[in-house]
Amino acid sequence: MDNDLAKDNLRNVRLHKIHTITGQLSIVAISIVTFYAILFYFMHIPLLANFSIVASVMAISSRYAWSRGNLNYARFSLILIGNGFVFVLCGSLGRQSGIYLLYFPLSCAILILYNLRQYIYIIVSMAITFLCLIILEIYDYSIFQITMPEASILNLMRGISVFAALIVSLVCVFSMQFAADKAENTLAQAQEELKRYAQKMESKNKELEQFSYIASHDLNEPLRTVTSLVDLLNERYSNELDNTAKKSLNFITGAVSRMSQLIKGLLDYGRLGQNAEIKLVDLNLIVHTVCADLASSINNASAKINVGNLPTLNVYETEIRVLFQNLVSNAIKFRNPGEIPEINILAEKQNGIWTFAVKDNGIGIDAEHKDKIFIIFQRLNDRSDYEGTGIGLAHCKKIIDLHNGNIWVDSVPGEGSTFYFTLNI
Amino acid sequence: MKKIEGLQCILLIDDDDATNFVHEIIIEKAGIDTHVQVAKNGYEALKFLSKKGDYSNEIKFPQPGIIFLDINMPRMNGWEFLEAYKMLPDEQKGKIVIAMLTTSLSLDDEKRANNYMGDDLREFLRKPLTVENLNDIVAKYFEQ
Repeated sequence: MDNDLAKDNLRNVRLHKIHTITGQLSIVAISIVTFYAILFYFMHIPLLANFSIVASVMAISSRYAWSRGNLNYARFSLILIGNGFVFVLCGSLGRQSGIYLLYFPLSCAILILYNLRQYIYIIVSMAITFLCLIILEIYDYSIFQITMPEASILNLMRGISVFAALIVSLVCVFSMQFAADKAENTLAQAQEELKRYAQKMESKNKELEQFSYIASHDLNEPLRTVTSLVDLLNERYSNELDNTAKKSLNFITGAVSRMSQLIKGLLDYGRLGQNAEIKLVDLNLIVHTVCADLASSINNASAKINVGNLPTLNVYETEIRVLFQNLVSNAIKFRNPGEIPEINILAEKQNGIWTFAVKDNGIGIDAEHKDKIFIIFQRLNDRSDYEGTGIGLAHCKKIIDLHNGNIWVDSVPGEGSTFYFTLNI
Repeated sequence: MKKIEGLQCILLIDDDDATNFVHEIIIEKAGIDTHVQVAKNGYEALKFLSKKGDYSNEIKFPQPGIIFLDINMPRMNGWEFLEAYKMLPDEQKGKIVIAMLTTSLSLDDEKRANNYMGDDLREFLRKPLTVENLNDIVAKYFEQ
């Protein structure tokens, strides 16, 4: 998870960098083309003046798109403006005007504007640029015929082009520097945050361990006292107690034993995944062991268990065993009265991820309860019909979370349930 | 033992047998002569109120005057029961006083109960039910 956070941060920083540069370049583009538009207007060269005005409008729309966050449009129109503008200028004024110099900052900008991962955009933009240069070379920089301006004005324009080339290159370099600094700062900040987060997690974990200790020792002790005193009353005063008193004592015993089950369940829940290691495990073996552990309840219910071919995967071994144990024992526990429980355990690889299914022919679950069942201590049935604390599926959910997977259920009430889960580790 | 007008029956909705047992004793201790009906969850209770299934005998199962409602129950919990109760026709609701009775220490539950307070839900109490609690409710809502 920490890795993902860092990656996300880097990505954001890179995007921010491109964003800044695009914004600055569109301002530079607006200034240059507008300046040329005015220049050509006064030089009475309508073709170039009109074209510059079009380019200027495009540059402004690019800036607008940038401010609205439509980066792709902003970037692509900048490249098009640059190419078209320089192409027409060079094609009309000839090589000696020096306008072709503007192609150098243009290729700089293409490389910087696009995130390197978007290589197709870079190739297309570069191709347009080179195509323009080749066409200019073939026609010897004289595609558009206009009346040549005076030599002094040509010199002025050459000066402006060199100057613009310099400015654009400088903007690019400074933006890179600026963005790199910002990236470093953001990264340092992100790392600091991660460190603080890790410290917080560590202290939370310690707290949890403390809590577990309290739960296992301090909470159980008064319970043990109650149990032994109830036993004492039952032993010594059995004859003197009336029905209500006896009933009360039975309720006390029941409540106390339920309380210790709940504490144990909570404790186990907290311990899941602690100090666990990922190991390559043959899941056929795991299911086999689980069935051996559950042999007596399987035999009592004369349940039939069919296991398909299961894979060998990297998993938390103990936790996965608990998972199968819970699912199989649930399938037996919630069987249809008078029906032989039949449980199928299957696995299938879909899109590179293993999906498992534990299918039974039991009482099923109403659709409205499908999400509830994974909540800790949530029970759907009355305690007198089906015993248990309601923690089994909460364990399963936590185990599946440990494996970055999903667990869900499909069920037809009265006909059976199928628990599906994925392991993605 | 005193008979109270409009309180022929008290309905306890709770899945815990021990709690119901204790509450029955409390009602007896308060000296109220009434039928005590136990429903193990909201669903059971609805069946009783609408006199469906095993509860179709009107004389044997009078309409309750007070319902003590637990929150945490299987099948249909206290909140779900309140939602379903709203939908009941008026003659099945009658003048029933519902008191939420819970072990929950969570303030969220109390806040949530406050949202339901009104014509249906009247009281929010913490377990265990005491003779004083019961007498207060009877004095507040029933003529003696």
